[in-house]
Order: sequence, then C-alpha cells, then structure tokens
Amino acid sequence: MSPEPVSYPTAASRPGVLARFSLEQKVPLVAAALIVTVAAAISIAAYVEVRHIARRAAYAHINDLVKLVTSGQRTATQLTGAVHAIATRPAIAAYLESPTPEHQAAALTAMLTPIGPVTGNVMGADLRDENGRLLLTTNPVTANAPGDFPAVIPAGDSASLGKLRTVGANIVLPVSVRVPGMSGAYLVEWRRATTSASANQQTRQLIGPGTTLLYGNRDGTFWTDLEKLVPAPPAEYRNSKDPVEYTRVPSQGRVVAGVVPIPGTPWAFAVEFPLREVMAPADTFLRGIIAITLICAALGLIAAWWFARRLTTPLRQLTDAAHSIARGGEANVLSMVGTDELGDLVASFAVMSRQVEDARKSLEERVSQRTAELNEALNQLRDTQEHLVRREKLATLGQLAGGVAHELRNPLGVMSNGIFYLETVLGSAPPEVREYLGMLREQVTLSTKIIDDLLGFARISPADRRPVQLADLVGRQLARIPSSDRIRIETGFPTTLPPVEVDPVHIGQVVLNLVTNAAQAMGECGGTVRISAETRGTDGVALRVSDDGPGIPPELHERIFEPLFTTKSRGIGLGLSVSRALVHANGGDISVLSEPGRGATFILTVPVAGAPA
Amino acid sequence: MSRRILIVDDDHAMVRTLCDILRLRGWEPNGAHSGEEAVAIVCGNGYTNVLMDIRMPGMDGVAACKAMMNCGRNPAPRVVLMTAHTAPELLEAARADGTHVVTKPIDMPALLEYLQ
Repeated sequence: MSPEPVSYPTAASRPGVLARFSLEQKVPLVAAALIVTVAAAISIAAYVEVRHIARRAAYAHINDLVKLVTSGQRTATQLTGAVHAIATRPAIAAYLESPTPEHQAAALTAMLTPIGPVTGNVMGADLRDENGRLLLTTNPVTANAPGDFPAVIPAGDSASLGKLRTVGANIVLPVSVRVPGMSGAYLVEWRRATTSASANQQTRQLIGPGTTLLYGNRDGTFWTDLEKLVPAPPAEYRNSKDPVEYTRVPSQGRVVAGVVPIPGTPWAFAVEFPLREVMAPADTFLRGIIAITLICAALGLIAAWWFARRLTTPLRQLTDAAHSIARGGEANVLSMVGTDELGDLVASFAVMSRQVEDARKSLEERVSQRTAELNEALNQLRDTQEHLVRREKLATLGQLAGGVAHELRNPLGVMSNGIFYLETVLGSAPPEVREYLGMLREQVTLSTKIIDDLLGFARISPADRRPVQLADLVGRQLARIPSSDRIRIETGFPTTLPPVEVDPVHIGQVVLNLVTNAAQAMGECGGTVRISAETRGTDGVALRVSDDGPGIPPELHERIFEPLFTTKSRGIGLGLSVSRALVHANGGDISVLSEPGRGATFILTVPVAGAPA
Repeated sequence: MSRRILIVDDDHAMVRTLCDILRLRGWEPNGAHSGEEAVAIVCGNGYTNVLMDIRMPGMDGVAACKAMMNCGRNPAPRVVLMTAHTAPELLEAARADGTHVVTKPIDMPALLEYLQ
C-alpha cells in the first residue's frame, strides 16, 4: 500500500493572517499582545492619575511656599519705618531749613547712619522736593540712575515704595518717606534688592531645592532672582490667587508657579517649580510600569509558549499518528496519556486507532480471503476455459482428422489394392519381388495404424509387445529423420543392455516424437541430441533423450504431457500426450528433467523383456 | 446370379484397381465416378451388385444408394458402401439400414468372401 498525499481542507477559502501561524506561535503572540494591551491601558490610566496627584501635590507645595515666603518677607511698614526713623533726624531738617555746608555734612552723616535691623544694602540716600528734584544725595550714581523717579507718595501716606530698577549691576528699590515737619521734602533711600550668593543659598534651602524665588515689578519690569535680572512671568499670570503653569524661560521648560503681589508695593514675587520635577515621580512610575509590563509580557509569552507546546505536542503526535494510520502503519499514542481533556482525546484516539487497526486487519483478512476465493474462482475459470479451448481444439481436430483420414485412407486404399492385385497376379514371381510386396503391405498397414493412433489416441490399440533391442528400434527411427547440418545426434547404448518388451510401433513413434521435439527445441542454432540408455533396477530400462535447448519451466513439466497443450507456434499438442499414452500402454512411463536455460532430458522407462508384468 | 458389379468412386485409381482385382476373381466390373452416374447406370441397365464410396462430390454414396433402391428395379441391387471414416458411431449409422460398410484400405479377402 503506497502512502497517498494527504491534504487537509482549510476552514475558510481565504485564511486570515492568524491562520498562517501555527498554534504554537499564535497562542504566545496573542497572550503577549493581550498582556501588553491590558498593561498599557492600566499604565496609562495610572500614569494620568499619578500625574494628576503629582500636580495637585505640586500646587499644594506652591501654596505652602507662597505662605512661607509671604510670612518671611519684611513688610512695607518695616522698610518704611526704618527710613522714617532716619528722616526724623534733626540734622536733616536742619539742612532743609538752612542748607549750609555744616548742615549738609551733618545731614549726609545722618542719612547714611543705619537704624535698627535694616542694615547694609543702602546704596545711597537723597533728599528731594515734591517734584522729585534732587536736593541732596549721598551717592550721585543712585541719584542719577535712569528712569522715572518713582517715589511720589500718595496724599495721606507717609511713605511709599517705588518700582525696582537697576543701578549698575545692582537692582535697587527706592523707599520714600516724608521728612516730618518739612512740607514738600522727601527722604529717598536706595536699597539693594539683590542679596549675596550665600543668602540666596539659604533662601533656596528654606524653600527647597529646585524651587526658584523671583521678585519683580507687577508691570513686568526688572524681575530678578535676587542675583540677576531674569525674564518676568507672563503678564496674564502675574496676579493669580491659585498656582499656574507657564513657560517663562524656554530652556528651563514649563513650571508650576505661584505669582503673588506684595501688598503695599508695586512688586510681586513668584515661586516656581519645574513641571519636569513635579512629574518626575510619574515618569519614574511610568518607566517602572513599562518595565513591569515588558517583564510580564515576556513571562506571559514564555508561559503561553509552554502552554501552547503542551497543547500542540499531543496534537502533533495525534496528527502524526493519524498520518501513520493513513499510511497503513500503526499509531503509537500510548506514550502521551494525560489526565486533562487532551489526555481524554489521546485516549479516545488510541481507542479509535485500535479500532481502525482492528478494522484494517479484519478488512485485510477479508480482502485476502476474498482474494484467495477470487483466485480460486479464477483458476477454476481458467481451467474451465482451457477445458473449453481443449474441447474446441478437439472438435476442430476431429474435423481435421476426419478430412486427413479420408484423404490418406483413399491413397492407402489404392496402394493396398495395388499390392493385393500384384500379389495375386505375381504368384510365381521371384522371392525378392514377393518380399518387397510384403514390405510395401507392412508399410501401408503401419501408416494406417499411425492414422488410427492419431485419430483415436484415447482409444490406443492394444500394445503388440514383443522383445525388441532398444538400439535397433532407435536406429530405425533415426534413419527416418533427414540428416541436418544443425543437429548432431549422439547415441550411446551399453552392449549389455537387455532387450525390452514393447510394441516397436508404439515406442518407435514415441522415440521419433522425442527426437523431433529435441531438434525443434534447439531451433535455428542447432545443437546435439544425446540418446542413451541404462538399466534401471532389475526389470527396467531408461532411455534418455537430451537436448541443448532453452529448457522447460518447472511449472510446465506436467502440463506438456496434457493433450492439446503445446508451447510451439505450430502443432496440435498431441505428441507428448500420445507418447505418454503409448508408453503407459507398454507398461512404462515418461517424464522430463529440465532447468530453464540448461536444456531438457526426457526419460522413457520401459520394462525389460521377460520381466514379470 | 449375375457377376456384374458396378464400382463407384470419385478416385479413378481406386475404381481401376478394384475393377482389376474383381475381374481377376471372375467378376464383370464396370466403373462409375459419381453418384449421379451410378444411379443412372443402375436404374437404366440394372446391376445386381454395387460397390460405392460414401463420400463423393455431388450426390454422395448414401443418397445414391437410396435412389438405386427406389428406382423400381427388381430385384433391388446389393450395395456395399466404402468409407475412409473409421469412427465407430459413423459405421453404426451407415449399417443401421442393413447396408454393408467396409473401411478403406479395404480388406480384400474379406470383401471377396462377402461378395461370394
């Protein structure tokens, strides 16, 4: 049974993308994709929430910082109070009343002598009238700094704080107070708004690292981080109660900020915190969750692959087993019995494959049994056919023999008549003539007998057995055979060979038949026919006739003796069957020894003369 | 009893040899070579003995024998049929109506004895 290619129909005429992959690939991929999708959804939601929380925390932090800074600021009253104390010094009033050089020196000293906690940072002090005109200054640089003189004190107030401005590298703020008792006279003190690096450091430590504290005018001019001038916060965010987000310096990114006006001044301060740092925990969280997602996906991939393998391995083995069964082999599925559904499937398959195997064996048995029956029937049919053919041949032979007999018996009859006439009229002829007439009569009789044998080999005439020398019998038959260049005939008879008791006509016909057959078997190539004889046992003689022909297949050794069986293209197939019948009629037997390609030997056994029947 | 005998066979040599033998034995043989010719001779001239082959072209021996029996000659001729066929059933059939049948080659001594 040759294995046939097995094709498996697909579920759909156009398989989807997934159908191109095996289960072992699909399951891990789908599992990993699911894990990644779910993890990504959860991560995005968590990330958004974390960002929201971080932002709310940042806003709260900003509010705290605003409160801290506000509480730590010196108030406008504190600032103006110190300047006011200086303005009350008599030396100043004295100078304003009488600007003599002596009063001037005393006034300058008074203007520069600090009072209370407000120390340092005073770069210079001016005395000015209500139009801002300079009356006296301790520092012309500050007094002549560009910009509007800001310290116009509103009516009713005793002091005011002016807008910040720069003087050289310093940012300064003017503090104006009325000089008591002197109408239209003001003391203006220029205080340094910048602080030292160490002070800034302290401030930063106070408000926390990463936080920026800015001061500036509410109108957006002269904003400083207390070390240098910096860009102001965007105008729309400069007066907001709640924390805001903006980008002030593009290189520093977006910030969360509180921008708060300082009461009683034209200034505002801003506390800024980089949004990047606010969101840093969220980003860290995001990175962590991405890592966890990837690890989970990898683990899921491996787990799903393992599971898929566990699923597909039995399936593949089942498929192999099914292929094996399809090829007519046996399916070995016992090695993969489990307890889950696959185990059940395998067990069911094992049962099914056993049934298939049993069914196959039973089918094979039935087929072979039926084949044997068919072969038997075929043989019977063949025998019947051969029998019919033989009968047909026999019928044809009967017709042919009838015609031939008529045609031969007529001339034989004429010859017989002629001989009878001659014997009658030549009653006194010489003995030689009478002998020849006898020989002629003998031959006519012989011919008639041969025709009778041919016609009725089934009704062979009783053997007229008498002692005969086999060598003489064979010699007489060989003399009837025309000599040939192709065929050599060798004879070898022991001189001690006893005479045999046979009908010489019968056995002569057999010998002639065997020698003729041998010559014909060697065909055009020719060869040697060997005829020999030997005693067999005490009461038999075996005559052997061998040739160099192609031999006879073993299965034909018996059939060649059947009537009308022939391997020749010509001939009616009676020769050997008649020979066998004749030999049997003479108490002998005939058989053949042959191997294909090594010639054939016919062995004729006849009884020795005088032997018991 | 008349010694006239008609030999009928399509084989001229057979007719000739039989005529010679029978003449030697004192018969007055004549030959014919077909069934039709034999019937004409027997019915016209009258013959008491006829030796006739069965198988001949045209009218065969059996038909000729019946024609001779029925042509009104009295006495009816004595007919001996010859045949080359030796099948027993054939001979039985030919002898069924009492006709004598011999097979070729003819056993002459036996035939001569029968004819006597």
